[in-house]
Amino acid sequence: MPESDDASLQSTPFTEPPTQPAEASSPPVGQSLSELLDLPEGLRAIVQVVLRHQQVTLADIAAQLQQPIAQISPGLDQLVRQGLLHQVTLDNQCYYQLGSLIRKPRNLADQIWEQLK
Amino acid sequence: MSKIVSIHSFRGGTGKSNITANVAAAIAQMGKRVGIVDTDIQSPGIHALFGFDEGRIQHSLNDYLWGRCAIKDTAYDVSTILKAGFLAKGKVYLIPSSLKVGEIARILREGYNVDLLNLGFKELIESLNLDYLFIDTHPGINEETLLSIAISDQLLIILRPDRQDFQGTAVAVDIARKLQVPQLFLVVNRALAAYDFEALRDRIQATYNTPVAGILPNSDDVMQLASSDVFYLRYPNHPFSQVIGSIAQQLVRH
Repeated sequence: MPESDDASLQSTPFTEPPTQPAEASSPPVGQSLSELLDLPEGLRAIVQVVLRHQQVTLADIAAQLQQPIAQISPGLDQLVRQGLLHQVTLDNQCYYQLGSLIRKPRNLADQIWEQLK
Repeated sequence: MSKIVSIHSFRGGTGKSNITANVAAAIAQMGKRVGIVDTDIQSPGIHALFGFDEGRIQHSLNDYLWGRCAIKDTAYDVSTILKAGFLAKGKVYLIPSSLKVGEIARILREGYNVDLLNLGFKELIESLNLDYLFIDTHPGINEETLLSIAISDQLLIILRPDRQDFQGTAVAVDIARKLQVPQLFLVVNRALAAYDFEALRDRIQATYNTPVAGILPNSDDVMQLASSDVFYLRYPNHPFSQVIGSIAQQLVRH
């Protein structure tokens, strides 16, 4: 796994998740991890490799799943389009990492939240 | 090679946190470096077994998720619970969730980035040089639970010999299989002495096609301690502790 190195982070709009974020001022935006359960088995397996290794190349994923790169590639593209995975380029090497997965905020009347502060 | 072990139950009140603390302590007594993360953010509780209350928690998991501190700042060395002879080798670190109503409510109201939790687990393993990271989950299914199951090397699903637990466990096992957990075990808790434990084990293993790592007897002695200490460490020869020790051995062996 590569070391984090902001200076060599070349691609946009994808950015590496911070290891210590600024304190949140507004609810995070993204998708729920529960979407993982709805994915077809092949796509779910790809996301899980990324979850476990945090930042991996296409070749790493193919090796982990013991499948040819050509078989993995379309699924990876689909997961990036869905926003479940992001691509980052480090030292001219493309890595995949988790997209914006969030614990979704609960909806309750404001007055209840105020009482709980 | 570090291992992530999640402890889960589909329903609440199964003794999940108690079993987490006891098994983690048993593995630490083997000389391992163990971390325990309380991801039951909505209803934290495992801190009580290590003598923690709200006043002793300076930084919690909530603080990390809101960017107030680094994840290692939320880890408390509670190794003094281990018996004197084991202190030199084994280590136990506790990462508690906040007990403050406002902070629990804020997590529910605002949510957080789940990947940050994932990064935090990895950072804990590296910065504390852990052999095992135990994740005490919230019962049922939510984001913390799904993440914990998805990244686990080993998963213990706790159930009581109860029809509601049997049905809920089927759901939890199904999710664990979907998420391809490498090693899945069931642990039965609060089994009445009148039961035939071997028959119960056979029946549960056959029903879920999953190994039963242990059947813990219902124990007044455990109830009497009332989560004020880690039972295994205080009463290592008790039948409850014998089963805990056996579960710990199985986790280490696999």
